[in-house]
Amino acid sequence: MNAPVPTVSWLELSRHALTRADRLGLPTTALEDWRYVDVRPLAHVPTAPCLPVTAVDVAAHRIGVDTVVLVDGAPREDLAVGKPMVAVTDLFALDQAQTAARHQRWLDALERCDDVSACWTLADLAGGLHLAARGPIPRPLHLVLISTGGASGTRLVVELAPGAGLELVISHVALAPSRSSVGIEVELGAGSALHLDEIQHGGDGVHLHRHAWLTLARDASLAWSTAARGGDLVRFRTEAVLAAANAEVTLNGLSVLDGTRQAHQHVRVRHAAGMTRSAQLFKAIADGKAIASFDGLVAIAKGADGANAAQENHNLLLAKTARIDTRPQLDILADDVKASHGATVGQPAPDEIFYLRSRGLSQATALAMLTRGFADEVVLAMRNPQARALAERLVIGNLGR
Amino acid sequence: MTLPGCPLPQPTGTMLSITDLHVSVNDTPILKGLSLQVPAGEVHAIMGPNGSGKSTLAKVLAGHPAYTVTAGSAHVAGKDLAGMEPEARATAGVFIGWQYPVEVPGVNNADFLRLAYNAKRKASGQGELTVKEFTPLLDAKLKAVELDAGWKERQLNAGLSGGQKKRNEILQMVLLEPTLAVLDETDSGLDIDALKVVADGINAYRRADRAIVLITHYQRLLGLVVPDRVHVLAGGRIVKSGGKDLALWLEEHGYDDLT
Repeated sequence: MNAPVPTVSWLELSRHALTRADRLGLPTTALEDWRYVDVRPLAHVPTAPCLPVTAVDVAAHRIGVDTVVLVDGAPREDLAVGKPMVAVTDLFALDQAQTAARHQRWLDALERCDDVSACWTLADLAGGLHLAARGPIPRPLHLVLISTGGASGTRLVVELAPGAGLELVISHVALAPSRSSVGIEVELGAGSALHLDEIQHGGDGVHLHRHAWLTLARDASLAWSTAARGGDLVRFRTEAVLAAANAEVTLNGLSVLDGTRQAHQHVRVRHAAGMTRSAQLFKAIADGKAIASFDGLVAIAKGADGANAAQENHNLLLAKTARIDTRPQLDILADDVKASHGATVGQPAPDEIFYLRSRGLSQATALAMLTRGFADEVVLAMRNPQARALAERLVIGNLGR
Repeated sequence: MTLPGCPLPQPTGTMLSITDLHVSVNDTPILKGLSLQVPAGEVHAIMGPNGSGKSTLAKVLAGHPAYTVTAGSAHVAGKDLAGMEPEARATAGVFIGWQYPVEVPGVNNADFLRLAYNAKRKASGQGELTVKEFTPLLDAKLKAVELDAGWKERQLNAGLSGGQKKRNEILQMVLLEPTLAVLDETDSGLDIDALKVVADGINAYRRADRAIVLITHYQRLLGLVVPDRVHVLAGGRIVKSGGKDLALWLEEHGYDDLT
């Protein structure tokens, strides 16, 4: 019989995370992972008082499917709609047997953590959910993560048993200036399939640090599409490990930014086994003084022969004062692989604008239509039609329609 | 048969009037004193050797920003094109069927066509059509050029063959109903069946209050769309004009004797 794993409490975890975060300090552009980020907003953590949240606030983001709402990290049963077909458990309510090993793993990960915003997901921890699917789940589930002010940390754990299937939509909603740190762990069992559509909608004073750690077993597949409007500082960091043969991950992202908003995509995909597949398509549109970046690495481990990886990053600069940085990278240690990557940063093609104008569209309409066309590729890749409509409404707006 | 209240359109004089037009690109003169009159109700063909300025004529009529008019004038239905933006020319009734229609990935055909159609309605003081109102109209036009309804959801020219792109141009023409259509080598890249469809579209489009200019290298389109006049453009000017037989003569003798 195995010796019981000593339990690390939530409070201890949080304390460790705070200590680690203090040790790391605020990031600067001298750090490789933060070099494209305007880190100045980090010095101003929003301290707005937390607002009461009502069903009216949630209604604007509902998409007509089963909905679970977390406010500043804490699950709010009174705002939930429908009855999820997946097992949803408050992370704080999990029993010791379920949490001991996981807490220990998080504690170990904290020791190695070199990204302070990842530490914040535990340091500011206010709550979270554990989602478990044991088989194919016929109805999509919508998680609405609302932040109302100040700093809060949220943890989501999504576990799919072998052969399970789930369609998940996650909305990040900021009702007031706030710093929201969201950690999402996804563990996909053999042959399971997860479709995840993610929409971020916020505005001035919004900070979102979303970290995702994805592990895919044999024959598992994950398709994750993100559409973001950015904020004072919005950063998505995604780390995926394709752990066994035939695991497949597709990651798509779109950022539509104006004003002084920024959004950054930081992606790490590791092909740890052969015959694994990954595809990435990230796009950004930046107007005004907005800042966007893509920093993506595909690593193919030694011996992971037969791996197939494609990484694309395309960007549209609508103003000379906007900035977009891109860094697609491949690190290949195996001999027999297919890997491609490409990146472009440009402005709308003059010949395309002229073609549309020659049919009577004004310069502004032509530009809007081209911008929308550029964005549509990612939005159309979203699995859930209601999520797609939400992204069209909140992220793309009225471009070209 | 004439329906009560729907009299046939009447010719309205000269539709396209170009006088001593000089055009440069990057300070290089391309058109050097081109003059051309196309009366309403007529189809004129412009033929000429490569590099003679045929496509330049199309682009300058559309208001392409890379082309500078250094002298002369162009009027469409009495309206001076000088200083008009490309979209203003389009909504005023100028349509260019492009030799190389631009691929615009991500832009949905139906959305684009509705916006273009509404731009024209708006310019003429009419209300814009909703998607619901526009769809049956578009369906009818698709049928007219033998395109299926799935065409609406395709991306504008993206991934289409040369022939499909040309057919898309004709669709736009019959939808937007311009008063002047200049079709730049619309026949190139078409197989025989597609050429017939395009020619039928152009013939159906002929009307007393419209004018069509066909820019072409070959007689084969002119066998299906019989022109009222044929002009030879060489060295940036019209060097010869004649009836439809001129195209046959050119096919046999080439341009050497004229240039």
